[in-house]
Amino acid sequence: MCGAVSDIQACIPALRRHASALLRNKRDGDDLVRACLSRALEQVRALSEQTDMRAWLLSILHGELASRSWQARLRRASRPGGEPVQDPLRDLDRLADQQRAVLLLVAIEDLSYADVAQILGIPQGAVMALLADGRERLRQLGVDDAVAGRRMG
Amino acid sequence: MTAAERPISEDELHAYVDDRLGAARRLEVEHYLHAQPELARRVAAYCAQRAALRSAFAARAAEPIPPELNLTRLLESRLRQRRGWWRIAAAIVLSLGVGGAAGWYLGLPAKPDRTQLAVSLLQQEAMSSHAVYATDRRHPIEVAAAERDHLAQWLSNRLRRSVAPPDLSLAGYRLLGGRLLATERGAAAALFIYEDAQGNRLSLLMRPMAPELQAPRSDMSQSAVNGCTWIEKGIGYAVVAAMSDDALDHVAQQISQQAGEPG
Repeated sequence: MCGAVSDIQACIPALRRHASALLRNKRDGDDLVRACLSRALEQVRALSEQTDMRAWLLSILHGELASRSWQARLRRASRPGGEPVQDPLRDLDRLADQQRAVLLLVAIEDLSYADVAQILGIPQGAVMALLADGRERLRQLGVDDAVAGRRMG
Repeated sequence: MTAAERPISEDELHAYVDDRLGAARRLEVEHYLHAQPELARRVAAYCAQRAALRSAFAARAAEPIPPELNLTRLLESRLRQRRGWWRIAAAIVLSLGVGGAAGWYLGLPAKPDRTQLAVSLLQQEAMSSHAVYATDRRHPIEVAAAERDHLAQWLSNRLRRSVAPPDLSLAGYRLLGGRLLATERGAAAALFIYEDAQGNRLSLLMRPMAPELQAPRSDMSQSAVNGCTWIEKGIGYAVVAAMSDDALDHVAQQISQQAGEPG
């Protein structure tokens, strides 16, 4: 009953993980989470008991990310600087934004394809296409690296 | 039905990687991959990617949440900015478990009464001030106990109320000194910091409150510290320290008693 606030609170770790993975920088990630939480507090009346809190918050987060100011930061995030996310999968940076978002939501946040479609506001078919393309691109990059590594070795 | 009768789509390969298939279909996909070594290698690479991503970011969610993402603080800052403040205030009260609510989800909760709101603000303010100042080993205070009279005079002037640091030596705490705090309304509050023989710090926050407000003692705790608040004769009191309930009782009693004494 008095659960909205504590339910939101419980999602913050997952939001931080997702935002810092998206932006490759913890500080920017936390800024995005704060923007998301502020927006969520404004919209808290729209909640019903059936709402999946985490999916709802993630869709707000992606809505914020789509705004112009965040798009500028997203571009900046690809440049080195700030506290870099320790990312053994640096190839993630070489994916298109939407591919990366889908991959992170599916693989790390473990959301259903339907939820991902809802969060990003795109059809489920597009989610599947982005997922397939993203995975294949990462695989190709991995193969390239392995080949390059062998040559260098 | 065999795999040959129902061809396996690219989407299903991803659902296989993400473990979203039913057991039967999963088995069919496995059989199919067995016969297609090239495809099996690709799917194995996707599975490895998924596992690597998950392990790379698994620890991230376990990190402590920084204070700027503290929901109660965000709510408070909105409280200061917004006209529709009481809805937010209600959420603070609810999150602290202070008020009873008919159901947040069902619509607007009942407007929290002013006392509950005041108490919850007092609690938050005391917890944050304790966390920031009392834990500072070098500069917890602005004016030291050696200048006790000056401290009391200065804070009384700023608060426009007569305030003085109570003597807590009977409870085992020695006054270190005090400092001025800003409240969310842009008014002044006083923070006194004490220390026991082991060096454990106790903070006492005092802030002016609307004269008609009155609240009995209510206890609170947060991670390693606990404390209590009450509102008496136009002043809100909040004690925070890492201490036993008995010690807290003793301290609260001392403060209350001395507040009642003249001059």
